[in-house]
Amino acid sequence: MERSLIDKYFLEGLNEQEMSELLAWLEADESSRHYFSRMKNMWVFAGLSGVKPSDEAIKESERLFYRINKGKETHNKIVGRFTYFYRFAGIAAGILILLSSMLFLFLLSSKGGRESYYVVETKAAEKSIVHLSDGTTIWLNAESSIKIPENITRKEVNIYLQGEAYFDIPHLGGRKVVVHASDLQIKVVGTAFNVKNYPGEKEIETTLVRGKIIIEKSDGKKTTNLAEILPNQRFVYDREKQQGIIPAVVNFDNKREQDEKFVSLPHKEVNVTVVKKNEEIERYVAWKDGRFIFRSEPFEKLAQNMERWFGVKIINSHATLNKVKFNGSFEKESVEQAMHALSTSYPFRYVVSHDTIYIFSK
Amino acid sequence: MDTIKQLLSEIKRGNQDAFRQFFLQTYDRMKFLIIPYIGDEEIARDLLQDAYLLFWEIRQTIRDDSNPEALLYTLLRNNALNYLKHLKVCEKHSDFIQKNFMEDKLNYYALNDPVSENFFSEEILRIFDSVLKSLPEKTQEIFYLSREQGMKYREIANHLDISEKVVENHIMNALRALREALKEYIK
Repeated sequence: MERSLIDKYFLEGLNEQEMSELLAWLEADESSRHYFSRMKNMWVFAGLSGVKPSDEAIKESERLFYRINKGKETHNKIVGRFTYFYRFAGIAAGILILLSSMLFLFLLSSKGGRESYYVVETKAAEKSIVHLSDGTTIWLNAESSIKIPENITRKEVNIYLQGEAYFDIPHLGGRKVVVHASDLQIKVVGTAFNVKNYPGEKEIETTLVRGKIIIEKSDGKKTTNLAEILPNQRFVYDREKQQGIIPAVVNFDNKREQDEKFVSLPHKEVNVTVVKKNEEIERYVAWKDGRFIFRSEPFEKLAQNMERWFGVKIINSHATLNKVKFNGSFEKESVEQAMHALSTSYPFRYVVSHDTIYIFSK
Repeated sequence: MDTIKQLLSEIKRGNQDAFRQFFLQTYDRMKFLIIPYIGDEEIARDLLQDAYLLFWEIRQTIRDDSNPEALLYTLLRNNALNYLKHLKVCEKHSDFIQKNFMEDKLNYYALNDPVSENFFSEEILRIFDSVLKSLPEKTQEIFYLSREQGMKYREIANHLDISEKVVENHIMNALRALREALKEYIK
């Protein structure tokens, strides 16, 4: 009788009455308890073979690795980047913090006592504006850092950039300003321009709005002149090939590819009817006014920019999506609204979990 | 894909890619194993996360000749037992015994039985495999629908357009064959 109760447990399940009967019996009799336990375990394990990896496994692995690496990364970031600054100093006057909850300012004195710098840093989803005494204004985008000499009116001013910044530098007679972006040097007279130099990205992009700049490359030994950039031109430098091009300014409306996806948002920021030359350039510098514009942007690249803009991590396991191109802009949207807008123009599934977004095919 | 044993030495060296492979190769099996005892998906996922995290943290202490999957299962099983133990405490403070609590108690017994760890031995996995393959095709199909797809017997009956009783008979045969083949282990 009892054996058949166990069989029934595996076959059709027990009702409440039978369940308490079985439980009472197992509690009273140890050998029956063992028998039941082993049957149950056997029954569970018998289904083992042939289980395939699932979407959930992929998603859960990302969650695990995020947990494994989370503590480590933030730790390395701070220790790794600032080991060479040996003295913490007060904040220089004239620096306005805009959207930054945390701003690191360090006064750097090199061993030779040559020149003092301060450093401004932004985290993901942060931006800063730096006003300098000579009238120079620098907008610093997310996850960027900039090193500026304390004395900005010297004959030669060297500024070091990692990440993205927009510079508006007034013309001062006889002064030479050089912006260093990895192995590129951007020579400036009096001008407004944008430099995008994120270490993880393939290219360094320079966009000139006003004035004139000369771009040089240096490998430590010799310096090569690469290009002279005029207003509304961009210079795109490939780190790997070590060469750059000036892409033609395209009228966006005339060149709309078939596979491009347009994002419509409530505030209707997308304007594709008339795109003038200036507006075309505008999208590379719109970030400084709090707008995130993307045109014909493959998702892969868009996701990288969104990670910085929203301060999130995007994990995409939908490979074909990477090459799909999107157009649109975000201004006040939350990351959820942004993902929703994107997923309505091209179908994909996404899950937002804390500050990580997981993307799957539909 | 590397075998799980080959992955172990890489994991011990701190290779995250190897650990990711190990995770992807074992996750669904582990979940499959733990769900029948836990029932709740959400909780099962968290128990799995914690087991993998612990595995990663203790990786350097793992012996080279150990079976990493069995070790992972042990960690998972401990987490699950702690969880069920916690439920038992909850039950004590409850005025009436619910069916769920009884089920949890049975699961606690089963999981607490050390024999489940032996099931990871290659020999037993081989026995499982050959028994299932020796069953009539229809029985195999029904067994997989029930185990892999998690279909209820009624759903399988509808799916295959047969009666529920017939489904039960097939499952019964599978159970009987497994019990017979593994009688030494489940005595």
